[in-house]
Amino acid sequence: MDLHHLHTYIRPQQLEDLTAWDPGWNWLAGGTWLFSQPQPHLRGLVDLHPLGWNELEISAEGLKLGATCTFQQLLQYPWPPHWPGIRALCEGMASLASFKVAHLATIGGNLCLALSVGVVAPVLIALEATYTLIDLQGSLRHIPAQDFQTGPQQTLLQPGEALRSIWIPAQRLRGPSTFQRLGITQTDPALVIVAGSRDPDSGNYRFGLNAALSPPQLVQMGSQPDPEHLSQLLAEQIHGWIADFRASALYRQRMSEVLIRRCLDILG
Amino acid sequence: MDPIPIRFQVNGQPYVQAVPPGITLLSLLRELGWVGVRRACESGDCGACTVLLEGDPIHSCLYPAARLQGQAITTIEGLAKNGEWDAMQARFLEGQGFQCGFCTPGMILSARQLCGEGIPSEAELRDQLRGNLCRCTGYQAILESIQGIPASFALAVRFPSGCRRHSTFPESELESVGRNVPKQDGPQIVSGQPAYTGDFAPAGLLHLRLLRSPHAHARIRRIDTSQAQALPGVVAVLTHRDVPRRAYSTAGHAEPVPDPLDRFVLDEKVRFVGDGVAAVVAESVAIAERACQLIQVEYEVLPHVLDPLEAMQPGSPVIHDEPEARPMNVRVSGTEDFASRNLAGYVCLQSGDPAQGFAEADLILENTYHLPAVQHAHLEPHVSTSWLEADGRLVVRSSTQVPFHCQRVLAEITGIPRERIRVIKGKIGGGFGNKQEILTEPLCALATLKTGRPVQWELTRSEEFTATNSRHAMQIRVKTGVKSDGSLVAQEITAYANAGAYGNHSQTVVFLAGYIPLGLYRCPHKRFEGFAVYTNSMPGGAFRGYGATQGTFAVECQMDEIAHKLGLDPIQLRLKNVIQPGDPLTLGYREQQDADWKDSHFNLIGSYGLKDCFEKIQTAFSTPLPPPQGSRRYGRGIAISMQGSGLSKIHVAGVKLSLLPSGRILMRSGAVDVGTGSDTTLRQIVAQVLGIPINQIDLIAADTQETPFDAGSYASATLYISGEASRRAALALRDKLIQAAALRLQTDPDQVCFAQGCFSAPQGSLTLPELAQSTPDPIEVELHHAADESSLTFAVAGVELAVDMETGQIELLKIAQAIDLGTAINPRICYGQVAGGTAMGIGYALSEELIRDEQGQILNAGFRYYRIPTAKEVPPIEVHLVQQADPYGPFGAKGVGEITTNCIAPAIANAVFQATGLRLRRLPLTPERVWQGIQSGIDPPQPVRASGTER
Ligand SMILES: Cc1cc2nc3c(=O)[nH]c(=O)nc-3n(C[C@H](O)[C@H](O)[C@H](O)COP(=O)(O)OP(=O)(O)OC[C@H]3O[C@@H](n4cnc5c(N)ncnc54)[C@H](O)[C@@H]3O)c2cc1C
Ligand code: FES
Ligand code: FES
Repeated sequence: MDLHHLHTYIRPQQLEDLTAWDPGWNWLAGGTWLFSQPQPHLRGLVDLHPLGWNELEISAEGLKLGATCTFQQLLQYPWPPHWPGIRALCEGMASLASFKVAHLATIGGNLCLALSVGVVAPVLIALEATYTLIDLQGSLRHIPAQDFQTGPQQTLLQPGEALRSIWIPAQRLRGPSTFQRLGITQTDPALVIVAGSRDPDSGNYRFGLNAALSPPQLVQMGSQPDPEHLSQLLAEQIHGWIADFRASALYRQRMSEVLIRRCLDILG
Repeated sequence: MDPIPIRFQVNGQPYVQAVPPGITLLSLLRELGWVGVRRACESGDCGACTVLLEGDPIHSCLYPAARLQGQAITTIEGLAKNGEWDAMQARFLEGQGFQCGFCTPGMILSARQLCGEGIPSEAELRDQLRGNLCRCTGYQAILESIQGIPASFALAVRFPSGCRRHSTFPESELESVGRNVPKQDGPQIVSGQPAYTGDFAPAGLLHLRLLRSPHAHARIRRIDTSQAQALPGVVAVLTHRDVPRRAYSTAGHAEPVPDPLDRFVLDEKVRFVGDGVAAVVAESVAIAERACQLIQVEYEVLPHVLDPLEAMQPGSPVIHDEPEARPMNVRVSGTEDFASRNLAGYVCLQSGDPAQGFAEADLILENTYHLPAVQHAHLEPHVSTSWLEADGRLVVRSSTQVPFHCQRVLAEITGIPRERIRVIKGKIGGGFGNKQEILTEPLCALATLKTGRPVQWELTRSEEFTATNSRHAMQIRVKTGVKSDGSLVAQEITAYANAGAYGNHSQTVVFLAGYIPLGLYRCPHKRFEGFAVYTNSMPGGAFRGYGATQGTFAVECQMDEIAHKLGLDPIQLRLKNVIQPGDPLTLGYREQQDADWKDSHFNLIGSYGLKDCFEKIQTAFSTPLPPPQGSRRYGRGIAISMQGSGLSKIHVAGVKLSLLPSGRILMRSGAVDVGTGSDTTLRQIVAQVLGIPINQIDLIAADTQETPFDAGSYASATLYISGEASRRAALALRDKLIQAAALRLQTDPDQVCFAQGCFSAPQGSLTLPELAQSTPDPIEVELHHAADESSLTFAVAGVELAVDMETGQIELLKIAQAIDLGTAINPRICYGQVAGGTAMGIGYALSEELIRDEQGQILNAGFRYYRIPTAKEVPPIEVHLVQQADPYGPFGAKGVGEITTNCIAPAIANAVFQATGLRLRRLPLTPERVWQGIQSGIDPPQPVRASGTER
């Protein structure tokens, strides 16, 4: 929708072009959230596109994704067949909105927006990813995926700081992965999200949970737990189940368990 | 604000421009006249605004125009090349993958991309199309179009049909009725031509925006508009001090209106979150919106009440205490004070003696059902444009189902004589009842009167969800007594409807909530008591089904329960009790004979194909039910319903037919095509009677200046009543034409045979154009028609589904619906009605609900969290049109617009019972509700034997 309060639109060709940062500004990635609801406090947008942060680099050590890689770019990429770990990421992105939103929406935008219904964050937590943030001076810091988000629509990003790239280690990409969601319908923003991955060597499981809680959280297991153990594990490790007009905390908690069990079945 | 210089191309046309930083590609394209790009949600959810950006489909409402750097954009207008349709446009035309057409450009552009490398599987298409909402079609016709339609639907006449020189026509085009004549607006729809109200912008157009109340109930102590007035570009600000204080009702009904007159264009009291406070009229939407935020309002916040039962209690806040409002003309027995009980409407109907009936019963069941407020979600928002003609006449173009009632209400509010006001219905992008409400027109017109300039007011999607109308939320108690053989002996319904802040439609909606389901079954003792209660929430209004939907859910769920308890087959139980031809609908009639409005709703049974409907549905589900699989349990359920065809006696339709000098026929009809296709079917009727092809008939529709009066499109009336008016007018014209031809041929009229556009007699022959050119006086007919009886349409629906016992999720596997519709004038269009109504029923059953917080604020005011079904959530729909000609309707046709929604939710709830053993009595059946039921293992309350313990 039209953002009637927007005064400024900037297209920096490089980061150094930005000498100042106004508290009313924000980065523009795909714009699929920014333009989807009124933004009464937003005064300016700084477009990330010209910076060309959409690299996709595959190496023996792992995968580097620029923050402005679009969903579509990643969904269409011919991934190496020995990387079943990428599957959860693709399933997660495919579950969001439609292919037309996917043409524009970026992976960084989904992470930085940090909605509780975010689809990318739980996957990257399961895949043990690390994020690289960059500030206006060009200094970088590296944050483990599970630490980046601090609450619904809250992250460690400082004003003027941006998510630059994402690193996923090859070890995780070599193991199986899966993305499970549950909503009121099959296509709405999820009530419960569980992304799971199994380490191909140690057999350890990592689960990224979201939508049922915020911020997204990591659950780790050494082996397939029995059902009671799983409930206990969640009760001990996880806090902050969301209760809102769409579902109760109890339902979200129980469904997270169900989805973890379904992940375990798939991951083997 | 710094405008951003951009360059880009649209459909090959280069543009260089400077745009405001926050404007979207959607708004830019529409401003440039590419109005095939539709504005429907502006949040990226519906896909109506889809365009191709460098060949890739995107939602243009999400794309900042400032970002354009030489890119090429293709809109629907750019698809056809050298007069040839694009392949996907051709498929949509062929398969008629549209009704109102508002979603169609986006559908076509999206489908094109999806079919780039061959047509995907149906499952894949359903999944990929989830970013394209359609509220009309149930997606069935869309999928069929994309995939190539089944042969049985091959359309009767192909585009382009071209115009013909000779005046006799191929025989194949002469039979119109009963054929799948293509919707005549198809080419306009698939090419994205301007047609809808918002597509036209008169020069000097101003835009209106409304500041709305943040409080559920408050008195406005002070409004300061000076800052807003001072904003450059603001032309006028209107508050309650600037508009006439005349109580009216937004409900578009014929006079005498049955609705309380309790609304003011703007008032000094606000009664729900979203109620109007002050309007800004400005040079642009952006300025108007900014100015709204500069208006300072001091409110005296009043206590509010959101629950109807609470609102009826003594001591509750009184919502309508203003002296001018005309209270309801009906009185609750034992209550002298209607206002203090917040009653917007009250209905009490009785026949026989229920107490006696219950005493005879072997089994009594009493249950309470909870129905949510849901929204129409027509894709085209409410929009109207008003201006003054040179001679001072006021013109309002609007997306309205009731142009003539709108004209009357505008005259009442403005004090301008009716004939000085012209209301033109634009093409409608869906209404479903919400445009039987006069919402945007009065303020828009007053703004034009104040400024002297054209004004447009288009609601945002969030306003649609928070400040228009909903289906009435209801709590319905049903108590039924039966004999052990299944025969009903007593049935009693009590309904409490949430009328919201204003009473529009509430009285009549509540009436149908009891009258229809109680009327459906033979039962010697019946009683209905219905309360429509004011609360501080968005008003309930007219919505497809109109109360019958709510009442049907309650009774059809309970009938299933009764069958189960008595060990009877649910179909047999219904067949045993359902009304039969010849049965009069007498509920409440004897006692209420003096209440004349009830007389006028009189329904009767004309044609009766209900038994065939049952058979169709039984056959559709004759395979064995799948056994449980993992956590999945399977179930089937059915439900039945009925609905009248129009309102007898008071629903008037006028038609004028003239022979044009060219030999073509000009039809002027006040009837409103809401997107259903009635502009086509009415012409089919005329074509059939005259024996000419439909393309020989030009139509001017729904314009208070150019067409005769028609009450409008509601109550499933258009085909039944306007259609009969058309048929009669055509017969009269036929007689006149024959007489004129006889005069020319110097013979007796009964010597003249009129066929294929040609008059022949022993003395010679004459074509229509020849007759037209040789007659000095115009040959024309104008007549008005009101039906004496409203024939009942019946429906039966069956559902098969799976419930995941671990999560509570319901997956629909198949839906079949059979409609006893008399004659299908245009089967393809009737299919569309059934499929679309079915999908709407699915939303009602499974996901749709307007959710409010305790302050009365709606929490899911957008398509992201208010979920109407996408293609993925709709299973294949099997439609059966049971055709037995009705003795009253035109060519035996009955109404089909509303009934199609009624059966779906109860059939689903009954199927969930079969799958899980759970009786869920609250809609929607969200996964959590189902799961909770499974968890608590709630058993249905034990049946009570009639022996003394009647509770
Ligand atoms: C129909 C529809 C359904 C949706 N469903 C979901 C859903 O289920 N779950 C969900 O999570 N989202 C959903 N969204 C919201 C949103 O579109 C997605 O989250 C998307 O991934 C956001 O990406 P973007 O690039 O478009 O972000 P933008 O809209 O451009 O930006 C989003 C936010 O992130 C910031 N940002 C973007 N990139 C960076 C960066 N590199 N560094 C720092 N800050 C940055 C922006 O400043 C802004 O605050 C939906 C949107 C639509 C239209
Ligand atoms: S208007 Fe853009 S998606 Fe609905
Ligand atoms: S035809 Fe799809 S919304 Fe009307």
